[in-house]
Amino acid sequence: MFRFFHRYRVVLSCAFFLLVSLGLAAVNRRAAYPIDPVGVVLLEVMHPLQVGVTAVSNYVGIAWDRYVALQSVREENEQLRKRVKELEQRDKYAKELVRANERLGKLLEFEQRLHGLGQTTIAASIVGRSPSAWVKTVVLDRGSTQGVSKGMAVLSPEGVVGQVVATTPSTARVLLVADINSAIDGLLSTSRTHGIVSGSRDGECTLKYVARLDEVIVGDTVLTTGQDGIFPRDQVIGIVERVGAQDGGMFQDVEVKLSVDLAKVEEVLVVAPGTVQAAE
Amino acid sequence: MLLVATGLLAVLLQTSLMQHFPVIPDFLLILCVYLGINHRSVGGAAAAFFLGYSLDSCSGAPVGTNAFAMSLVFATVSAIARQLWLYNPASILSMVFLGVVLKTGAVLLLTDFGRFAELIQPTIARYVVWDATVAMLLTPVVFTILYRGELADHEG
Repeated sequence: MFRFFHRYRVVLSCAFFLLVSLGLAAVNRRAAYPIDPVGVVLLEVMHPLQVGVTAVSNYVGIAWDRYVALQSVREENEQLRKRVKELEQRDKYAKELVRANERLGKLLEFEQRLHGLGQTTIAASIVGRSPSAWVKTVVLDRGSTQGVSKGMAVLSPEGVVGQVVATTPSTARVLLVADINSAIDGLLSTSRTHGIVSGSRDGECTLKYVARLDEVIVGDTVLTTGQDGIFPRDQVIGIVERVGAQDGGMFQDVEVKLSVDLAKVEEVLVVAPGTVQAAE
Repeated sequence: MLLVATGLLAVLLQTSLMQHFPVIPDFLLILCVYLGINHRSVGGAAAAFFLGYSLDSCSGAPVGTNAFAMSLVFATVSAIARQLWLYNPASILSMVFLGVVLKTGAVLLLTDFGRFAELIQPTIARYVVWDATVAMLLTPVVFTILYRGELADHEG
């Protein structure tokens, strides 16, 4: 008998536990108060552990959710930064287009006004500037092929820019009005006093050869005379900024502030020598 | 001692931490299969019963349901292990799969006996495939930990 139990102890124990569990399941399925003798002890032991593990897992779950949310916020942030950069670039481009449009509009208006006066003009863009501080010249993108020739006047809607001093088939070099070698016949708009507008090494312009007794008012406009056969008459060169008498000299020192910002001008009109007429 | 600690840990994990996962890995079943293959003894049968019993108590299932299922899995696996050499990965994974099927069937039988025939097919189709896949994926890890733990226990 003992040998039988010993030999089949595993099978018998399996059968025993199956029957016990089946019995428990059968009883507990219908019972109002489940029979769970070990469960109370087991639950008491496991409860604190379950609470601890659940709390930790909940904490980890929340932390993970926050981390994932943070990641998506970071990605969104990067995308938005990219978008902002893109839009900023577009905005700059659009503003640049608006400015170019305004400049070109003014130039067109100026060109039409000159055409109305019988002047032949060639629109050009400045594509290069003199690298030397001593020589103030610019290079235009129009040359002899387009009709530009040496001696032509270069104007912008704001006023006189300079004079063409050399050409190639596709470019032209312009001596700016602020260069020391530039000399333009000018007159004061109020007193009609004549003089020669010339540049200097430091970029300032002066109206030379104005007699001591001639009336010169600060703020008066300096215009072209049209008598040099190069610049159309009454084109603005600048305004009188300062007047000073030369010690013991015959003439006055008249400093002229140019109406054109030569460092910023981009589009110009090359005007062929023609009939001397007032642009205004 | 290692098996008791592992059993408690498995119950703990399965009734708390693993509830956050879409498919709950059945560590207890893998442990039960391990017992059926490596511990074919009265202690093994008792351990399988108590694993199921603990799960019932801690999970709120009717007491006896998982105890019966685990005892059934242990009895079946140990009976097969007596006849066949199961110490290779393919056999172990097959036993785990069989264990999942048996456990699902047993739980269904005890909880909804009247509709067993009607429910067994959709239940197996819906749950067994996922449960078995997850259990089989975890089996090598659990078995390796238990083998090494027991080896270290014997050497220590």
